[in-house]
Amino acid sequence: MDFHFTPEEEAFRSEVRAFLDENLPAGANANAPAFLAEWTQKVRAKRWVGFSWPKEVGGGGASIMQQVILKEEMAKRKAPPLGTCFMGLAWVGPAIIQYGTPAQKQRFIPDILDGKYQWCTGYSEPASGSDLASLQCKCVREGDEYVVNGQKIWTSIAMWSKWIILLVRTGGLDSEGQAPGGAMRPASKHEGITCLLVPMDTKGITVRPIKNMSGGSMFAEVFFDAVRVPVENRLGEEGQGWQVTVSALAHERSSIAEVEGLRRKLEELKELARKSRKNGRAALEDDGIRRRIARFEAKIEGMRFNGMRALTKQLRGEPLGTRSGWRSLAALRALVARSRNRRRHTEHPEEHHRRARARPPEGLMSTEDRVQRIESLLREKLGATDVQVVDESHKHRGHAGAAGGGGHFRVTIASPRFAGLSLVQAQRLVYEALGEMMTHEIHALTITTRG
Amino acid sequence: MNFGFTEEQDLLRREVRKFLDAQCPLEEVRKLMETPDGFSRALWKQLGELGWLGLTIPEKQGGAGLGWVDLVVVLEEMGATLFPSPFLATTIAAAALREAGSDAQQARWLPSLADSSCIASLAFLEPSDRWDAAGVALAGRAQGKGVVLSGEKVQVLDAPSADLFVVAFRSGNAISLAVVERNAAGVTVEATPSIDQTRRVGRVRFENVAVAADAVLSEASEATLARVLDLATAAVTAEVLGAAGAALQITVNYAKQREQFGSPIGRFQGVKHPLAEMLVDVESAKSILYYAAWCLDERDPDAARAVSLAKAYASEAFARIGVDSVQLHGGVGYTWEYDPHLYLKRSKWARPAFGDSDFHYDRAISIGEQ
Ligand SMILES: Cc1cc2nc3c(=O)[nH]c(=O)nc-3n(C[C@H](O)[C@H](O)[C@H](O)COP(=O)(O)OP(=O)(O)OC[C@H]3O[C@@H](n4cnc5c(N)ncnc54)[C@H](O)[C@@H]3O)c2cc1C
Repeated sequence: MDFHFTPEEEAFRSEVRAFLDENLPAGANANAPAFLAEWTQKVRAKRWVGFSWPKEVGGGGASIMQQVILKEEMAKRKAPPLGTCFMGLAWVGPAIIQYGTPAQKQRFIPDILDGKYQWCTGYSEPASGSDLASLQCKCVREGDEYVVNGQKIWTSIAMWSKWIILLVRTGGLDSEGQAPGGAMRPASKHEGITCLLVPMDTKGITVRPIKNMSGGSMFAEVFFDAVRVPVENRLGEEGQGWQVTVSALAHERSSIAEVEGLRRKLEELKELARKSRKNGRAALEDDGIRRRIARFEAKIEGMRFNGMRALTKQLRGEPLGTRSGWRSLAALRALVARSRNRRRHTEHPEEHHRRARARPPEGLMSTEDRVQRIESLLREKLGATDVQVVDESHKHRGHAGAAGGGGHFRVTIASPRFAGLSLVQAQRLVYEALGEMMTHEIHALTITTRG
Repeated sequence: MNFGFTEEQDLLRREVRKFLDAQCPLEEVRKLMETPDGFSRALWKQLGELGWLGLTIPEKQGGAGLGWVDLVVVLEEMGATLFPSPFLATTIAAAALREAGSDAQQARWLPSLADSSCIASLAFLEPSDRWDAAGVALAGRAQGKGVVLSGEKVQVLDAPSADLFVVAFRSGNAISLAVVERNAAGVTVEATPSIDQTRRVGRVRFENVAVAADAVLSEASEATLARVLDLATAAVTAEVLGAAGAALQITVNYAKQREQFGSPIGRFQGVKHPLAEMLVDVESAKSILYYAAWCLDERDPDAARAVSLAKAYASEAFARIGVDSVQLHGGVGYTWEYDPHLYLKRSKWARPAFGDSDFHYDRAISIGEQ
């Protein structure tokens, strides 16, 4: 056990500190747009944006220790972020580097490093949150294109993003028995998932912001209506999407730098407690407050040393379990959610298997039967007073989706159950009511609800 | 021994619940919280007509002369729907007038509090953030037979809409209470933005505000003030526990409904356990509170300790329930549209209000040591 750094590492630390002394002088307004623009250029010139990425793609090719030192020093000085394309740098870029074609790397990586535009992440769906692998956003191949129909939700910054990294279902348990292109039906729901990179201005994409608890909007619903995506925008192989997104974590993730940020926050908290009054004296002199602050300090130190142990493992070349994602803090929250899903999934294999068994292949219904069944399900389960079901499958005839057997329907439905419900809630009800049909009989659904 | 509510109290609870469900469900609360007043004057008037505003006001002053156990029943229900109104503020101010006012002073103000014509509030807390007599620094300088008040009060409940303040002040070593009208010369009221939009608070400044002798409450002392604060704290705790119970109920309902991994999430132990813990917390805190309310009504010497334990337990439990109910709702818990955030925000207000858990646990221990 040794907590010292090598001379090279110390030299690098000095370099970073000197850079910060020069470019982030005390009192600089680090939030001013002009300052940020200049800062971004400077750190980019240093190759500190995408510092862990290989040099060939424009990254810094840094060692793990260098990454730790850079992040730590930046956090200590409350420096602005290294690069502005948050999700691009955090997981889209790493996934492209690992699984992308040379053309994809060339097309996307420089823009991510330069922060030319934002990426958003289209994983969660109304019915698939923790159980992400049950996602149902439908995708079929038609020649050189994929056609996507479905919905994503909670997509952070969708309204300001130029591209979305999208998980769709091209096969597996929730799709037609056979995946397009004659592929065999995969054995698990993880295997029918494909990752696509899609421009947000593609025809058929609609973004609807969701008001969050603070009254603002940071995330949105994203609807896909016959969205056509060139096959060359697929990341990784068809059916490999789960792997592509879950393993794109190859960069340093000991969380030591995040802990540094927390330590700084703790200092700010102490300062606040020094200035505020509680029970007639400085809050920092209050036993209760002192104990609570000390508890935070213990937790933070625990995280920091956990991080060092994880880092040591990583340096020795031992694989880091997905558990190290657990230590990640705010900046990696979405990744944590994902690894959490995975863990839960593996902790509940019985659910998984029950689900797998519950889906026998079946003979498909005629279109008339489907329309009738949709109507009767909606009337019966939602007490719908008015239901109109229009079969739009003809519009899609010849498409791979139609060949798969599921129909395209436009449903207009009025039900007192919708009164006071939001669109999301109402649509959830409709999907629930039609649950049994979503597997094979319905390929895509356009829903209009009235209260 | 009989540790339960009477049939009448259960009936009262049902009446309040029916009234609130019909007149002020959460959709209505959401509308009201966006208005400048933050509450409905029409409903306020009805509270007077229904007799609830006078619940704890003596009969000869136009009230029903009931006790704190009865009040707890009403406040739990109001807490459950986050009912926005100056009911709590006015009830606490009425308690101060009753505990510390002469018969003449009670007769002068209490009837208008009971019939909803006057919104009143206790102005106690100062920037020192102390919930005991030692925290009162607002100066009362003698002038003739009256006093002149100078100083500042913060976190005054419903200050923006209050017509009348009952103000704690200090002259030398003595603590007293004065009744000051909102539009008296030298009084300025400023609304304080609150994380909880269903609850309005404000800062009240007193600059050489002249108070006539008959508006200084004649029976006010450190002891009466302590009792007033205990009554107030118990009232706030009742509201807190009503809200905590409702947040729990909403979350249980959601867990029964929402399916992931092919089953309602409420079937997973990882969801069941926090829900069960919340239930134990809410019920335990309620039990302590009911005992505390009984002690207050009986003027039992154990009242102060019981009140402090109830508030400490309840506000910590509510804080945890607020956070967990957002968490257990997943993504929708983060939205404006679903209700957990309303309760989470109320829990943030409630935690320090009338003393946080550190304060009350310390107090409970010290009382026990005496
Ligand atoms: C601020 C914010 C930003 C987001 N940004 C994005 C984004 O950019 N892109 C994206 O794709 N998604 C995003 N998400 C979605 C996020 O990943 C999901 O909310 C998350 O996966 C949980 O899914 P859910 O909301 O459906 O909750 P549910 O899965 O319904 O979970 C509800 C509750 O049940 C618990 N639970 C579920 N299953 C189990 C189990 N088996 N055992 C124990 N407990 C369980 C959960 O922990 C949770 O408390 C965002 C969410 C938030 C809040």
